[in-house]
Amino acid sequence: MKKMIIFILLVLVGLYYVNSNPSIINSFQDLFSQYDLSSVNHNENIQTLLEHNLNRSVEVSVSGNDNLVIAFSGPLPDDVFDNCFKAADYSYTYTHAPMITVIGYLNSQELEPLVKLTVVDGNLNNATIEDIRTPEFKIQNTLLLYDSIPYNISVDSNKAYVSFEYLGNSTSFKDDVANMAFNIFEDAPWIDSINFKLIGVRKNLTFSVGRDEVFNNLD
Amino acid sequence: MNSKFCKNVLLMNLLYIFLMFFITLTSNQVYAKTSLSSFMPSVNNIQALDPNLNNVKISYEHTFPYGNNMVREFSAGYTAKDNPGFNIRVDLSYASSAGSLNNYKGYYTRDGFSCSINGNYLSCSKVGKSSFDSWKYNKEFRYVRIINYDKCNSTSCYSSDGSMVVVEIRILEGYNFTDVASQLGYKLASLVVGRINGQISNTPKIVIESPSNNQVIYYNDYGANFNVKVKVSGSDIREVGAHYEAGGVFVGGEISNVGSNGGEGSITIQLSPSDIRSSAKVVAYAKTSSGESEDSVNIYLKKLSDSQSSKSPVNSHSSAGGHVGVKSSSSSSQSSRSKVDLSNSKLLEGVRSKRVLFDDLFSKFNRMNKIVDQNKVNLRNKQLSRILRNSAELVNIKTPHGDELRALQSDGMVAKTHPNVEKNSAGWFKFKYGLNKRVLGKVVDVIADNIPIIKNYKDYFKSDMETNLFNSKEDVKKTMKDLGVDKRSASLYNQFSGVEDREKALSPLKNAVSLPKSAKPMEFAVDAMTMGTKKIIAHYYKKEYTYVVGLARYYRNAGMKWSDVHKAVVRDLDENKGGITGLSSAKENAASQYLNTMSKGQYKDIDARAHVYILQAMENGDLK
Repeated sequence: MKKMIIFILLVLVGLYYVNSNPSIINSFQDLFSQYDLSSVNHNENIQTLLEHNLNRSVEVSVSGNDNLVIAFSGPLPDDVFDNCFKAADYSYTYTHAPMITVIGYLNSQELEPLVKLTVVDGNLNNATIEDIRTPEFKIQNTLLLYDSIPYNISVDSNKAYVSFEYLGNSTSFKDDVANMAFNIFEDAPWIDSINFKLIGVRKNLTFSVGRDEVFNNLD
Repeated sequence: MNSKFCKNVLLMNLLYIFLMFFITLTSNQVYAKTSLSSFMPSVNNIQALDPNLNNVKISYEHTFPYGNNMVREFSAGYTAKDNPGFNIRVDLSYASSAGSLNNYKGYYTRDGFSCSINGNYLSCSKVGKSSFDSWKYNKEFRYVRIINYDKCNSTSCYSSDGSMVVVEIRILEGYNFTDVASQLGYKLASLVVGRINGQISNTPKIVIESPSNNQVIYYNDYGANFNVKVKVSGSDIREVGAHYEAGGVFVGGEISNVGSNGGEGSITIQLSPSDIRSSAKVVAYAKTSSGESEDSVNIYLKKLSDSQSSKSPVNSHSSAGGHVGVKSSSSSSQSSRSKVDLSNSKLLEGVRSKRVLFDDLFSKFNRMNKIVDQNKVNLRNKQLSRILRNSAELVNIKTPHGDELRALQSDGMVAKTHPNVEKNSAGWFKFKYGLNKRVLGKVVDVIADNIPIIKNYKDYFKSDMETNLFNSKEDVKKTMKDLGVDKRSASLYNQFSGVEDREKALSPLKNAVSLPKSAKPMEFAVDAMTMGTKKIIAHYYKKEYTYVVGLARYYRNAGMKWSDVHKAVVRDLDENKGGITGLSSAKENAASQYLNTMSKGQYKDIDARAHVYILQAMENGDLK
């Protein structure tokens, strides 16, 4: 084990030394340059290219004359989020579309919209990133962080109805529910109160938390 | 010697350039290839073939690369009791040498079909005795027609890659007495062939009367709404609709007040602030059973200055408001974008130009707009910023219904530590955990970030280091600490989960893409989601474990042998109601399905996992 760590450190130090010599690095970068346009088969369309590059099925459509719309899904949020940028960058390199919209879906237990990226003139630094998750899905993800399993969640114009099972320690329950309520009010800012239904092994418990209770206690 | 060599190289180069020039010349000829999807029958077309058909659906559709082949499959029910319905498959392809009808006849007769060639088409059928109980026979009908494009006088049947269009129709039905496959087949064939020959003329005509082309529509902070007025002429009109379309945003719907023989209709389109783009399109369409036509106008959206704005959404069509102006198309509202017309790009050939996947998203946004009260959101945002301005960083996340304010907490929210962990962790483990997280990890980060290519692969180094640093018992502790879950969940997670492997495979991309600053708030939300995903997977493993061990204990207490217990449990996972979330049988349970996708290798199957659960429970004494 110790040998292995020393070995890795030695390798890294060696690479650091290589880094100090720019000519070696330049030749490396040429080898690995990201999008090599000369290798593109121009008989393939952008959908096939993207599918090949992102390793998944991709839906491409054109809206109007100048907006390329790309949509795909992935199993992990990280994966979808990073690939949105990659897809935008990649498709701009090939098509020079003035406006590119990438819609990422999360393929969890159901297909859920996650993020929408709008890039004008290939300028990734000024890209508009929109959170297009539904409020129910946001709340579901909030609950997951507090050691609970969400069952049914619905949100309307006044209230959120949340039924969940709690798996954490009983001493941390009170704190968890308070934090949970705060985060649910962040997820759906327009609601006035939350109806919790705690599902137990034999008995269920229903209670509700109002907005003012949470926010006034923070002062 | 040297100059001779140079000359040779020069000659070769010249030759090469000529060759390339010749190749580009020949390959750059522009063909107007009609998309095969325009010949394909729609659900309405199939429905119109026979009034007894019901529940017609597209069950499968595929367009091959280059758009030269297309397949569409339909499933349909039939009202006669002795007939379970149909499976209809339409195959269209452009081809340069399609073979003759005799070839097709050869293939089919070899498969047991009886075929006949009538003039320019081939029809085959095969009747077999059905193996199902409720009906006696099944019949398969096939129809092939090869259309030579030279013979068709319309430009719509022109093909670039080949000189022929091959139409192949297959219909499968099961029946006792009624036998309609061949009738349906001929009707469908004549429809498709008619379309390819450009003989079908029942396409409706639609014109957008308002807004006019290049009209400017004003909006304010609350959005805008405007009327779309259309005039339709034609017969047998089935569907008329209109929508606003800009940057992946679609707002609109069906226009219901147009009769089947045409007329005028209108729809009011309401735009929320997030739907608004500086330039957009209004598209209206009308469909008959056999054709479809479209009309579109460009509109420009402009914000009202404060002095002009009123509290309510602006009505462009209200006479009192009068905020309607007409602007010429040479205006500067599009100047911020470069002018590239995508419709001519070769890379986009075969890409659909209509919306395909966004219907679902569209309805979700519409629902959101109904339930979100913007005033309340603003009120709460103010409240939050007042309370938390000193204790936490506040960030804005853009959403379709306006901005959302969120408190960005440093660490506490994402990684909650399970209380059990602190009790059990020994000093040595604590030291190593800290060493890994605070020292070694950072050292690798600092060194690797300075090396261009290697930095993308630093996660591989890190994970290698971790496997050397922690033994398998400590690995479980590490997972407990990272995810904040209990011991059983953590050990099952380490054993089964494929999430870590996926993340490792993803890490080069993650490290290579440098996210802009504006992505930071959303990145935070995404990180929290990933943590949540891992936690729920760990919790589900434990639930599944408890469920399976419960089943096994029941059979063991009944006095079964271990081998029989295994068999009985696997059988029960198929049959029992009330799987791990108490909703359906374990195999159909959404949670178990989710675990199937998130597990690695052989553990993608609940039976394989159940086997391990039982063995583990025997080892640690849960089962005796």
